[in-house]
Amino acid sequence: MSPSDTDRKATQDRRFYSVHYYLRAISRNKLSGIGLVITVFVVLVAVSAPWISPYDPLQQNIDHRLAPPGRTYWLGADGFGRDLLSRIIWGARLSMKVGFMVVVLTTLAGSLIGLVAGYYPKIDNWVIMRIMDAFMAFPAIILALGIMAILEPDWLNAVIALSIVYTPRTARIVRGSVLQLKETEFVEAARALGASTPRLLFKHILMNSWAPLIIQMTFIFAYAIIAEASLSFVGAGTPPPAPSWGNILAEGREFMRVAYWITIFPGAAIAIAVLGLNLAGDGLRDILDPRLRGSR
Amino acid sequence: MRTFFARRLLLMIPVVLLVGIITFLLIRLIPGDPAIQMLGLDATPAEIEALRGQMGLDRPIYVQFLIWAGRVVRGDLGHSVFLNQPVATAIVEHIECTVSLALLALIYAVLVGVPIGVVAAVKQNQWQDKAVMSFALFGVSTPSFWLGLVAIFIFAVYLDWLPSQGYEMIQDGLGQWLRFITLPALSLGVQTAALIARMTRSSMLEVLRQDYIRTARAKGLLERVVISKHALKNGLIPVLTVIGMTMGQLLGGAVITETVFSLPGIGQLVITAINNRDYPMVQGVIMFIAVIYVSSNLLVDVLYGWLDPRIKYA
Repeated sequence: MSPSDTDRKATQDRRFYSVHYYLRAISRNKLSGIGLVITVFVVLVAVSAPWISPYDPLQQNIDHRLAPPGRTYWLGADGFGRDLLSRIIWGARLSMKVGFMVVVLTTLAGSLIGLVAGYYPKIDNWVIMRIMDAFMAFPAIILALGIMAILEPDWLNAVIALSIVYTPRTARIVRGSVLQLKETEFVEAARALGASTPRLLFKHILMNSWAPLIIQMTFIFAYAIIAEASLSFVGAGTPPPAPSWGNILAEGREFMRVAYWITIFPGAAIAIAVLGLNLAGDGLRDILDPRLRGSR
Repeated sequence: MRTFFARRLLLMIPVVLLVGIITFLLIRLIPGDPAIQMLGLDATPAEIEALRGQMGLDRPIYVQFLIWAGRVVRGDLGHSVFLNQPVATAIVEHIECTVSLALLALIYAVLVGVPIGVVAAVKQNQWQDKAVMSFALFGVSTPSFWLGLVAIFIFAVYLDWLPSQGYEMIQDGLGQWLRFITLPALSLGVQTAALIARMTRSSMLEVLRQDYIRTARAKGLLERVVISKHALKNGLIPVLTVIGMTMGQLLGGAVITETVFSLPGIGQLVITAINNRDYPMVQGVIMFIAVIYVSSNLLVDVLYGWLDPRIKYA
């Protein structure tokens, strides 16, 4: 290898680790760029809900019950005369909050379980992954419903239920990376230099398996949004009157014949938020893991 | 093949056992006394004591589990306090609706997903491909229960073609059954159709690059024959994996879709049970669905090996 080759290799390696490089790559890819823009937009709406929502989402106005979309209520009013747009904006805040917390909790718990399971194959084969398998033997929403049956319907409990449901999926992915990475030379080298096991696991292995992890995080975010909406729709998630996209849809169901807007707009909001995350996730996967291009 | 099947069946045992333990512990994790939770605060001490005895709450937890597991193995899933009937009987009464919904959704998804996936692969990067991929993206991003609501709005409220709720059993007439089940199955199937289309496309693209396809073309076979006879056979194998993976989504989605269309299936059963704190029912239904899911995955595994002789059963 000539010196210039080594230099180029080093530059490529540096590029491989730079977040800036990936952000640029994402925005260059048209679809994932759109996904990123949509996601940032939804997050901004969620964060600025108290300032941008035109009305109080809980303010009832019986005179304007089921008012159609128009000047006063841009997206119409619901059965209690509450402004639908404000409820959708506050619903975005709730969905983002739930999605974000589920992603954080599943990533923490899943990484820890995955690291231990991948690094200590003996415990793994007998205990951890069998338990994870068992959790994955339940369809996600069924397990979430079961957990919500023993907890009170509440958004924070929905976070707990969904985190339990999705942690095994993250653990499995981290475990896969660990199994691959622990045989590599650089991990071997670090071990030979006397690095402690926690240092090996967190500094060398986890830090190098963030690519599949971050892809998984975007998809879990998307699943969590749909799952929270589904739970709230059947009455096992966020209880009314607090606005959640799912419970707005459940209330709108009664008025479908006279007020289509309560059914159409909140669902469209879910679809847009999830679409943004899916586009960004697909783009990330194409950039980070070209072998998986086009699958899923 | 037979040993493979036997081994897979044996491997199912620990999973089902753990599923049982998780289901059992779920209900035992209820804060406070489950008997009081179930009966409400105005229950008399005698009633509570009777229910505690019936549920075996006065014994050590492992004994409770063994008794429960022993009953489950014999098909006794407990007694629903709210419906005053055995849980197993209630499940049998409601299962037809859920299974027919999930299966019909799967059939729709395969009938739509496979052909459009093939078209997208054959016309890679042309408008047909882009249209299919857009549909697929839309399909995986839209919650099926909302699609159900929109379908009701269009086909039941606006066009008045199909009923918006209710159900007729299949034995009461195929036509009636289809009238009631079509909208729910279509809205539930869209997401699976999208996943199948994506998988068919990528696996067909892979297969179309293989040497034996080039050989077939070089022999002068019609492109149609190359695609349908040579490529499709191998291209469809990975699609089976997607079908296995989405069985859980379909079963779970069916539960939510049933609420949208007021269908009398397992979903209605479990959601009513949750609202009424009917824990034996919740436990029974969850256990039952998990076992169906695990079994359907076993079936897919076996089919997989049967269709692709290259897969070793070691």
